[in-house]
Amino acid sequence: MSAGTKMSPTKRLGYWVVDFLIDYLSPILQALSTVWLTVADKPAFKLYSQNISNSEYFDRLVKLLQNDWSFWTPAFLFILGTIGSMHRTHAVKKLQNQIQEMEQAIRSVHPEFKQAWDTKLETLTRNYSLPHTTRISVYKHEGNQFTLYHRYSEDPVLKKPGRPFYPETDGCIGKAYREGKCEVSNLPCPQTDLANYKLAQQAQFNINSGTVDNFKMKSRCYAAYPIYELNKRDKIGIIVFESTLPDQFSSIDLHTKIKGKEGENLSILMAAWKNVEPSLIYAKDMGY
Amino acid sequence: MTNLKDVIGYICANYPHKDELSDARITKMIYLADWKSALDRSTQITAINWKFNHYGPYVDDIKNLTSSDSDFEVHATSNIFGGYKKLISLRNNFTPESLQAEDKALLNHVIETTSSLTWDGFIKLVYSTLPVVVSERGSQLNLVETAQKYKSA
Repeated sequence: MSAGTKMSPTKRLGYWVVDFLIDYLSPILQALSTVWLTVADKPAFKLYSQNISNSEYFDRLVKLLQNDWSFWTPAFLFILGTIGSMHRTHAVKKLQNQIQEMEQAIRSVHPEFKQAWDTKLETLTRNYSLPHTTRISVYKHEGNQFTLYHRYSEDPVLKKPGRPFYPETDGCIGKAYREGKCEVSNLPCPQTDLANYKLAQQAQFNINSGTVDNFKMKSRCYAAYPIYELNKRDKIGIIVFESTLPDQFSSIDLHTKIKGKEGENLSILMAAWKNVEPSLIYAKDMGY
Repeated sequence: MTNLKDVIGYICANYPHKDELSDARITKMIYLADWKSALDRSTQITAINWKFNHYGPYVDDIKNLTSSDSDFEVHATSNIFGGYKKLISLRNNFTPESLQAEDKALLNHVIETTSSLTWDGFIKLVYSTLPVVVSERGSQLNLVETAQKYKSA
């Protein structure tokens, strides 16, 4: 029943009873069956099969049970356990409702995945006053490789996506993944000294000449750091800042920022999109 | 290239959950078939020029054809969020003559892989395909060219 809909008290009570039974019938039945099994063998309960009146039965029952700790101890523990179980069921249901609400909210903005990440990475660009020659890419770790998760640059040419998959062993991404960071500030200029640029790419990142030829953006400085799962143990992605100009990031101390609150914000954003985020591996596994 | 009407008709006739066949779902299923065909055969199954609009791969071709062709029936209904949705069904059975065995196999793959998906899972799949991942909103989707890049990556 949606919020704001009027309902008669009887109907409301009916809904409450049904909800209560759906949520708590199982622990109540478990508890009753436990009690039944516990007391079934007690002499006090065998009285009922005798030919006595109800009032006499209850008198004798109370007398037999009043000092019987072997009955009251498990009964007390059972009541405690049932209350705890019901409390837990209630708490779990509350969390489930919260998750459902969040999922619905995410679902309603699902087509805005690219928009959400554009905004996030654009904000980083502005907050850190990064020049227009900068590109920020987020790569997601999937299986034993990385896939491009999102990319932002003020320059539309630099923003264009490149390869769909990236090996976890090579490149700036691979280095940051293995070593916790990858910072290179001054590679040779590819326009004036392509040969040395290629040698540096090979030496620094194990990237061969042919792959460098296919680079749409031949960057001269890189800063790449892992993005961690919210448990702060597992690396789920890499954020790469790169620029076609040398030495663009050393004064900003990106490492400290991404290790701190900013990195946590990225982890939260990735977690929020986890259920609906695009995944090339997911499509590949389905044959697309 | 196949006849678009045959493709829509084949999906309508063979998709197991008829109450899910909205114009939006059929459109995206045909996109998946075109993408799968581009990957497997370097050509689309239809001649549609796909565009990445605000809500993913979209063209009006399917909507226009089903609303104007008397072999299809369009039934207006609403989704679980109260949004408007148009269900497409076959009014008259017809033989999809332009479909070859390979085309039917591709369409069967799309039907089999998507019929068990909820709307969320289905949309996630569409959004996870490379042409959507690498394209900007509003741009044309060149499926064949993207498939070639994908295979050589």
